[in-house]
Amino acid sequence: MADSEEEKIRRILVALDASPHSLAALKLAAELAARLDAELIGIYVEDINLFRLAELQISREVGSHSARVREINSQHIQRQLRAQARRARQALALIAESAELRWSFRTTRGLIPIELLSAIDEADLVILGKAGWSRRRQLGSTAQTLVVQSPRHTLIIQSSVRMGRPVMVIYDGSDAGKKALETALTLREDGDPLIILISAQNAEKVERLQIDVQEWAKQKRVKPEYRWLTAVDEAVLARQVWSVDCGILILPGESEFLPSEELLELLNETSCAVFLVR
Amino acid sequence: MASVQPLSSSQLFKRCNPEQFDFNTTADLEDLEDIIGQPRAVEAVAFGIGINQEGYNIFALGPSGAGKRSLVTRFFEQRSRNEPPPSDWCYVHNFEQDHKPKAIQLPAGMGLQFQKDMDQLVDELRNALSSAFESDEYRARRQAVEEEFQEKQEKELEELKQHAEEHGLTLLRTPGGLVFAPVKDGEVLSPEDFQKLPEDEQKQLQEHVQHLQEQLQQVLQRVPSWQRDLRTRTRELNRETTDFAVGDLIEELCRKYAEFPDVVEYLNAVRDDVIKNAKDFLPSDDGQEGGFDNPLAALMARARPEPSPLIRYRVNLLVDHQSSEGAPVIYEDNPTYQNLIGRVDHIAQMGALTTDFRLIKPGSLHQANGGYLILDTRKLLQQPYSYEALKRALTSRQVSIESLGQMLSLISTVSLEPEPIPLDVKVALLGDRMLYYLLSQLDPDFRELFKVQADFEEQMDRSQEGQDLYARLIGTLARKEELRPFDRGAVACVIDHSARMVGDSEKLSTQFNEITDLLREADYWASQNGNGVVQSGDVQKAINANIYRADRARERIQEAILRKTVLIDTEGEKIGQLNGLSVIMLGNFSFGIPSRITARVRMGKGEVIDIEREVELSGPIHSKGVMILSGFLGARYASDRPLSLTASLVFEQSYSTVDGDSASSAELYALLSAISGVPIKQSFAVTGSVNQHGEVQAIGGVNEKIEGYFDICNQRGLSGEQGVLIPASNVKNLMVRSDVVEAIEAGKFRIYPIESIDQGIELLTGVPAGEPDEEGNYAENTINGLVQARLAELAEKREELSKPSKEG
Repeated sequence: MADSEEEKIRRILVALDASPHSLAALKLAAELAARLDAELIGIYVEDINLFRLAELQISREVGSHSARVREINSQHIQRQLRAQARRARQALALIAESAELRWSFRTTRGLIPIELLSAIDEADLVILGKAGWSRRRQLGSTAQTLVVQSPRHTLIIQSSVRMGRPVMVIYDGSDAGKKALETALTLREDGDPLIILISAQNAEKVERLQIDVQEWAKQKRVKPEYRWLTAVDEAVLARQVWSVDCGILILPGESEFLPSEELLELLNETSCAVFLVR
Repeated sequence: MASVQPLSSSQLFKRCNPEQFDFNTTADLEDLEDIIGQPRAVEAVAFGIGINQEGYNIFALGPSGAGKRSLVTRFFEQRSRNEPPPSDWCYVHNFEQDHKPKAIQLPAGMGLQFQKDMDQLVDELRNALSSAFESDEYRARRQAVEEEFQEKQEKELEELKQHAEEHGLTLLRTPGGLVFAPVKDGEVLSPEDFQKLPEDEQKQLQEHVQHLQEQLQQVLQRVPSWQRDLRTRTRELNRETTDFAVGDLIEELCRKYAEFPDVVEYLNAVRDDVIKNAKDFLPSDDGQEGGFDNPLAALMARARPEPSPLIRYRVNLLVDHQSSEGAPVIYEDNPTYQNLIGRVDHIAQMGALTTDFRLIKPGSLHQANGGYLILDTRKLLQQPYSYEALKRALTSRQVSIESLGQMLSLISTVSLEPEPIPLDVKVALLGDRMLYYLLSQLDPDFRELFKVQADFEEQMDRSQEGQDLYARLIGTLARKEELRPFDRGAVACVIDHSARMVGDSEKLSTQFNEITDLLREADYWASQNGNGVVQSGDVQKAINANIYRADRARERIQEAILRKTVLIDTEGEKIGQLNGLSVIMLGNFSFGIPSRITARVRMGKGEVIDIEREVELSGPIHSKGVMILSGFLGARYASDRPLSLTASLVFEQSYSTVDGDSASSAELYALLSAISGVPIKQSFAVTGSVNQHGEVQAIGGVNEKIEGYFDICNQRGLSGEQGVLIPASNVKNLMVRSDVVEAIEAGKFRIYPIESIDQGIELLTGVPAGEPDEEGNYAENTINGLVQARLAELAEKREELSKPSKEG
């Protein structure tokens, strides 16, 4: 289970829209970039749908705070989006320069999930907020797309990531599971508790997997806490996450025991950061 | 007329006989508890302390060193010992009016307890609140409240969204708001695609959009009221949590202080305030996610020594009588305005001056409240506004702390108006008589507030009992000052000096500070002389050394006389010239010197010209004395004809102001000699004032005057003829120096007690004064006869001289 050179995270893509969630994502991205000596790439996507909408001229905008109805037009949308992009860039510049990171920022126009997916090839890890500007706790549509389709490591941030809370990782013996263990070591700060959830169909297999992990832990000189799970579904996992007040949950992006629908449900149910290993 | 006999040595000095005492040294004597020689003041102070009415404060008046402070302090202390210690006073925050801290009264000793209890409450409050607000229960309940709000919002939006989707629309978010748009495969229709739709469909879509927009608007309009509701419920939750966390703590204190309604009222106010501001006591919480997003801020909030909101639950213990036994007796040494009525301090914070109730500091009125306050009047009056503040406090019977700077608009910064504290204090002012009389004359309030005057005497009677008490006083002072004991000879010597200090053989000084100085100095000389007990020689040495230290000026003046720079004759005879005597006072030391007085006469209009007065070198009393002379001359010698002479009188070689009438008899003798042409024996010096009937009257400083003349004669060599004429009424004041007494015993010097001018002129000239016959004429060979004849002659000459001028 050695960390191979090609597994190393060198470029971190962070999707920015200047919303609180995306700023929290940026903060974590900068921290990780500093720790991993990685480059930070900020991307802001101007939603093409909004321009079309303006041209359509059948809809009017309802102010999210004032509830006032306003006309919308392309220039107006353009100006607003530009201002948002500028704020996102400023936030990135400030945080990256203070941490002396290599960074870049760009603005593209298109459908957000598609633009992000196309940008993802440049990076090893994509970090994004759970939802955009809405105050919803549900996973936003962009995040949903990326959770399911992203070919790279994906980290979904709910709010600010709190320090000193346990890091939880799911190990199922698969390659992705092994990567998840390594990732846990990378993400974990010294002193943060590490909890390894060993997941398999039966107790026998669990025991076998635990021996593997114990061997690994000995090598890495960590003392994790072990938990067994023989029947995994999103509800059981969500309960585990709540019970330990978990800070980051690390799990394989595609696994037999957790299909995409359940994965999305899990993300809706929990409030911690979720790292999908791919 | 029978000639005047010189005084015997026993009349010159009433010596205190050491044998009259039945002790060897003052170590045998008991301490003297009472104040001696001040029966009037003692009674006045006792009365002032005893009477418990408004305005009966005490003013102890008398010279400094008369024991005013020690008497008043002793009486106050005696009385206060049997009185209970007064209340403690605290200042606490006023939750209704920040700038008016409240005063709380508690029995002695409870103030400190209350302060500790509140300190403990603050500590516990912080812990109880932070554990309550960090508890899972609180967090869960708060999250539940917030989630309910979010769910409500999400649900409504979700419904709208579903509704929209049913009609081929979607809800999109713009940077500024929400908007519905027709979609196809997740993408908004382009205008071209939209145009391609059948017109009906287009119209329908537009209607749906319109309808959904209105619904969305309604939902969003409800959001503020939901948020209000959220805030109310969060507040209610905080309130409930706080009440549960601190209710018990405060309830316990309420039970403990149930007897004190002020405290209970304050504690209830504290409870309400804690509930209202609970969030302020916790480390910062941005309110968004219910946690400490910024660990650094949380850390700093914890590291702060005391979060400012909690300060207001502390107690400022202004007056603490926990360890007091009896009522307080306070002497305020520096009665500035602030030291008297207290002050509100300020601290500089970020360049601005701020204050709060904890910075209220007590004044001596607070400290003495319920007891006694002693102040020095001179110091009090020297301090701006202090006297007014004291009067205000006594009149209103309360102490209110007002900043002087604010009162005078000198500074304008945040300040407090602490609640006034009721005042019950007995004040004693100490001061000299002049201050008392000035204040009673000029300040109408003064008499209302200081109704008891305790007037201290400068002297006391020198009876046998008085001397015994004096001996005990010397013993007491010696012990108090840790001096050697005084043997009875030394005590007698001190008593003699005390009589000399007041210039009266029948009185003793009550200026005990000066007596104490003498005792200390005598003790020093005893140590220098190797005496274990202070002896009379040591006391005499102390007196002499004190004189020697002060007597440079006297020596120079005497030297000037001996070297004949200043002309004073002590032998021979001269017409119209005589030695007068005056006293010079330099600091504490006074001494006598002779001065030559001369008189010249000529024909004139009946004036006696006082040259001193003409050049304005004489005081009014001196001028008065000279005018009396004219009265005497005219009435005795020229009652039936005009007084036809002009006489001029002068103090020779006097270059400074002269005052007092003690030289008026000398001036009259000089005048009589000048008119009669009979010379005066220069071996005499004269002192005494005279009235219009020619009676010689008492003067002051008789001892110094005699000694001043004696010193000159002695240094020139005593002839046996020399002497001093003093008023007979001053004989009781005689306490002359021992060397003078010795010279008189040896017959080398004389002192004559004179009652009338006639007695004096006989002695000075050796010619009888003469008695008037039935017609008022005097025999020719007498002084009075010669004067009368000369005046008659002058009158006739003047008449003759005036005739031709009239005729012509």
